Amino acid sequence: MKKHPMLKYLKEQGPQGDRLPLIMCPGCGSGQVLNFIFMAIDHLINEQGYQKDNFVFISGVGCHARLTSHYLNFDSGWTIHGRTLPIATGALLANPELHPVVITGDGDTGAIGGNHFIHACRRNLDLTIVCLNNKLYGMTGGQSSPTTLNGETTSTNPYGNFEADFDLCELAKTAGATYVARWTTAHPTKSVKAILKGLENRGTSFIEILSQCPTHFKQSPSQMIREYKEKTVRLEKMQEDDAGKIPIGEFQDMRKPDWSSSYRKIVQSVQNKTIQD
Amino acid sequence: MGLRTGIEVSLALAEAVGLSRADVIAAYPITPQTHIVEHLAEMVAEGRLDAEYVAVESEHSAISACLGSAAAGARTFTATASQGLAFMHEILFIASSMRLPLVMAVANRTLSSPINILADHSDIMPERDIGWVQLFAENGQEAHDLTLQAFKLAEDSQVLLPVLISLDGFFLSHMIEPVTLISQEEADAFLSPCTLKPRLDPAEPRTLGALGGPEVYTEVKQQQNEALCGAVPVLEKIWNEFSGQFGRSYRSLETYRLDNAEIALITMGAVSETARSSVDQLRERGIRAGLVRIRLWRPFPVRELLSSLDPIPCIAVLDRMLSPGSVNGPVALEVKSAFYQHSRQPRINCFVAGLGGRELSRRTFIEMVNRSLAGESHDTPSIHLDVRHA
Ligand SMILES: Cc1ncc(C[n+]2csc(CCOP(=O)(O)OP(=O)(O)O)c2C)c(N)n1
Ligand SMILES: [Mg+2]
Repeated sequence: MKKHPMLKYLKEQGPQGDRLPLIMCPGCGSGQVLNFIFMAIDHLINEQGYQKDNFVFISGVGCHARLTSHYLNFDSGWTIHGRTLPIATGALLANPELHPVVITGDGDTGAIGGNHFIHACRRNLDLTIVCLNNKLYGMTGGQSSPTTLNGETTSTNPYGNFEADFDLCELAKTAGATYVARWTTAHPTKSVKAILKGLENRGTSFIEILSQCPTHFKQSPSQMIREYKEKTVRLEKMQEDDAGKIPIGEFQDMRKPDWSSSYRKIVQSVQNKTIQD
Repeated sequence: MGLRTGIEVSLALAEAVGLSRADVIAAYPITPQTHIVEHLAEMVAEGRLDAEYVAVESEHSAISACLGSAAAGARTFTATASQGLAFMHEILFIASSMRLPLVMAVANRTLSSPINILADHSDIMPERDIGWVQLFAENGQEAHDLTLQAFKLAEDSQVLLPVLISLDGFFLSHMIEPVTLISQEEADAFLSPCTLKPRLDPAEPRTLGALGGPEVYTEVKQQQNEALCGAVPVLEKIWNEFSGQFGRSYRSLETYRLDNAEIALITMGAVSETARSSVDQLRERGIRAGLVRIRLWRPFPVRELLSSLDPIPCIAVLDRMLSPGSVNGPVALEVKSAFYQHSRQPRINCFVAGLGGRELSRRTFIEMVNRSLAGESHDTPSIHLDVRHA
């Protein structure tokens, strides 16, 4: 049997034994998203001379975070819930050659790590955030998250969520991220391209991928993926009667000096001044 | 009369929060606490409990929301575990310093890293100085009963302090056990409606937590400590009343087969049931073992401990947390300092075991007893049991 081309980025064996069977539930979107990330990185390595060691994966805690678990063949840190961005920031500042790939979830980034999220975007740090949005806390049993839509039922909202939800892409854009996109597991090519653009962008890139959780929503994965096609609308094609649909596409794509270049600039200007003095 | 039924311990605890007619519950999910708060969310959603359930965005926010709610005079509950408890850390001190009565359940789980969701006491032990009353449940009945008692204690005008109840994650929280559930009438007869005078009261404006420099800070801390120690007689009164009404008696520690014992085990939490059956097994073999199980961890019941262990010459303490760089684990340190300057000096060994969910079986307790009786020196640092070397 031919091996999947992306398997080279995974180890066969980890400290917990064989890679298979996977620990993800059947039909979970996480594996698809990992594949998207690998395809983007593979392109950079093959076509643009990036080195595998330029990448570091940082994840928090949640189902999504297990993508950096025992089998990933990259340097990685499986850290604590909500703290991916400070840790990635530290890694980046210590070694500006690194490309931190931050793998996070709607809870990890939108709830407990929300503060770090807006500040990373504000600083325009050169890192790429891939947020797997399954619209709930998957790992802890399907409780509402800040992206659970109004009216949706979860284990903490048995009669429907009465709170408003966050649009993480709008939040990232407003906070200052320079590349922001939302796609879904039903949009593989677009997702790969967005992650690729994110990795190439010198600044904070936020790519949200809607990723199905058939376990907690008690739906079939294929139905959920179909709904990602039906219930989404391209941002640029949005019409008034599309209210209620989820906008997908690029929310932001602009150039702005990233944190490290601004920092270097001020260091240089002070050094020049001292030399002149 | 209450109904004796098979119920998951998390649910039995949540039911007791309902019976206490809590007004506000603020929580963030974390394994193995989730079943407690999900059940409460359901009770609120179904109208069985007339409370506000706030699904906050982190534990830091959960305990902060509880602070506000208790200050406004509401009966307040939260629950957490592990990283969640650690994330609450700074606020935990504030709740006790502001003398805000609230109740929290902690489904004990170890701390990262490595990530591990199973039970030990690494989460709760670093919080031993937060100034809360701290209780450890051994079984489902106790988790249910202590919860009701905790509200009564916290809100007592002599106490006004937060109270927490530890229950071992999974090994207790997720077990289905026979529990005699208290009925609503019984609960109402035991615990009156919340009559807390709101600390935040528009009629009487005041600032909570304002600056307190060196001229008052010491006195504030002294008073806080006095209040915490003063909670013990109130708790004893509550336990008396409880046993009068329900026939189940509670003390700061439980003893088992200490008569003429040559060695006593000291344990906390659900594993004490295993320890008790090890004691039986040892007794059958002619070894006179006994057990002390600590229920009240803060304030630490020094007098009860000393008198219950009299005149046993040898003590084996179980610590379910490795305290790096310390002489011993936290429980053994406490026991040893209780005996310092005491006329009688038993041999005390500290055994560290059961970390990150590693099984504690009768074999473990029997090994503790055998090694202690074989005269393992108590000058040595902790003895680490069941460590596998690569
Ligand atoms: C401080 C802290 N609080 C709570 C938890 C428990 N916890 C683990 S994962 C998780 C939610 C994860 O949700 P999300 O980020 O959306 O990831 P998903 O599992 O849905 O992929 C929570 C609350 C934790 N590990 N640490
Ligand atoms: Mg999620």
